Amino acid sequence: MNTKKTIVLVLLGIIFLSGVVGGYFYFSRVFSKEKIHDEEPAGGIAHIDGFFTVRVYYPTVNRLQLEERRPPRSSPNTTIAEATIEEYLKGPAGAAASAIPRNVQLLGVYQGADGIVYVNLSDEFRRNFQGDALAEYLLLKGLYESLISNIEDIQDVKVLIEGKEAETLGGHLYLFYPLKDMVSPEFG
Amino acid sequence: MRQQVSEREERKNYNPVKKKFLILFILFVSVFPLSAQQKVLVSLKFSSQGNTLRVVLEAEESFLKRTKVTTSSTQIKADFPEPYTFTPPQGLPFELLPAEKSLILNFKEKGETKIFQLSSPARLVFDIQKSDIQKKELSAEKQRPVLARGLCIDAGHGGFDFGITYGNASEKEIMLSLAKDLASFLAKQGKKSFLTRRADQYISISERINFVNQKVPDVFISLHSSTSTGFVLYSPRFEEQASVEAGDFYSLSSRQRKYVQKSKALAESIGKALKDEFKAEIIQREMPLPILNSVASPCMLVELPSPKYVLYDQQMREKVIKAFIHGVAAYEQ
Repeated sequence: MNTKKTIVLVLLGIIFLSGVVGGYFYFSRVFSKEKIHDEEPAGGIAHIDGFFTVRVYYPTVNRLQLEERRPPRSSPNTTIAEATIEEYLKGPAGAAASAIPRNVQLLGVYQGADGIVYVNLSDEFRRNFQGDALAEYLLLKGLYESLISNIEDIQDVKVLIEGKEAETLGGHLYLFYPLKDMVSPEFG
Repeated sequence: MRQQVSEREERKNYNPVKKKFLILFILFVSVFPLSAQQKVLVSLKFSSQGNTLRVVLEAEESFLKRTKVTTSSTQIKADFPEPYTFTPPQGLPFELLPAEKSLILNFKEKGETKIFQLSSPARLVFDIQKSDIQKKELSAEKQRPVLARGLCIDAGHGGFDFGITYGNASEKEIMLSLAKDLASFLAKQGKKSFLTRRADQYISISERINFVNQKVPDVFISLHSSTSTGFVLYSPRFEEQASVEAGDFYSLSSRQRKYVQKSKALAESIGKALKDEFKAEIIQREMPLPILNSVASPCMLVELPSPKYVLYDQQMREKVIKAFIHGVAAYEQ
């Protein structure tokens, strides 16, 4: 009887200890993940192999053209949003002339609590834009479509120029407001 | 003994509830088609002559005598005493809303209705005559001088915003000279015009919108340049389901909503005039451009061929102005 009691007590002790150890590892992982998520800007962290696979919508003459790109991760903290915009600003592959303004620098990408992704671009985005209403529409639509097709849980996209709100890009469409309502409808 | 047993079994099988259900079912099956047959047949005929539209409802005399008719300037409602069957004819010039015991006729135009109840065959006759008020309104509209409240012209871009450039030519300068020429031409014709800018200065989109909405012109035209060889004409466009986040933007832009059809008509008229004048390709597009969606006037944005392909000398400007004038006149008529 005593032997049986001892075995049961030992088994219970082992179960208790394994529960404590397991719980420690589980919660330490959860908390470390939450910490990373809090500090993370828009988009996820790069894939383990150091390459992203991103879909980019480039403006062409009168429509958007989809290209799949596989850019390398430039730094350990590079996000998918940053990689997508960097690829977008490079323009379509093999095109002699691109509708995307030249020498534009990505100054930052942030996701607000409201789900809006704020894309901060250098003034060249506005200054070097040469186009009509359709070109402006497709330029903004391409940026919007590229971001929403690569990042989950985005509500909308808003463009900032040099960290500030600008009224317009090329004198036809507003930049004051998030892009979704302006670029969602297909023009007739 | 055997007979007694079978009688007992029959008593056991006999169920009074079952019998009641059976009777009710037979009654329902036999009464339902009878009640369906009792529905009165109503037929509708119509004809029009000049300004008068005649609508005739034919049915049994007793049925029509108990029918109540109410009318307004755009509607006739017949309340029947009981359910009826009805097959609407094809190609009706008015909207028909049949219900179980009523029939509503909705007319597009206002009119005065006269009702007659006639027999052999029993019928209700409605003579709808286009009202004098509407005729007066239409004639007043026709008599109103063209561009009574004026034409508002917006020369796109300006100041640091050059728009499209080619060599020394820039969109902001070309559109300003064109806007000034158009205003001078209208002044010579005794017509009012307003310019959103008279000099090479930057005016924001919202400032331009406020200016147009203060002036309340008959027509608003925003002048721009395309990157192509052709003319591109833009009309406003609205999406029914705009998100809440852009609420302010859309509360401003909703001003154009009731002018959308007029704006499309304006773009079509000017497009036709440009095609007649230049024999060139005209592209018509609809886009939610803020300068169009936010103004409370019939409006359009026109993109002229790029300065890369066209020299905007005086002759070219005169041709463009001529087309605009013809287009606006055709729209107003």
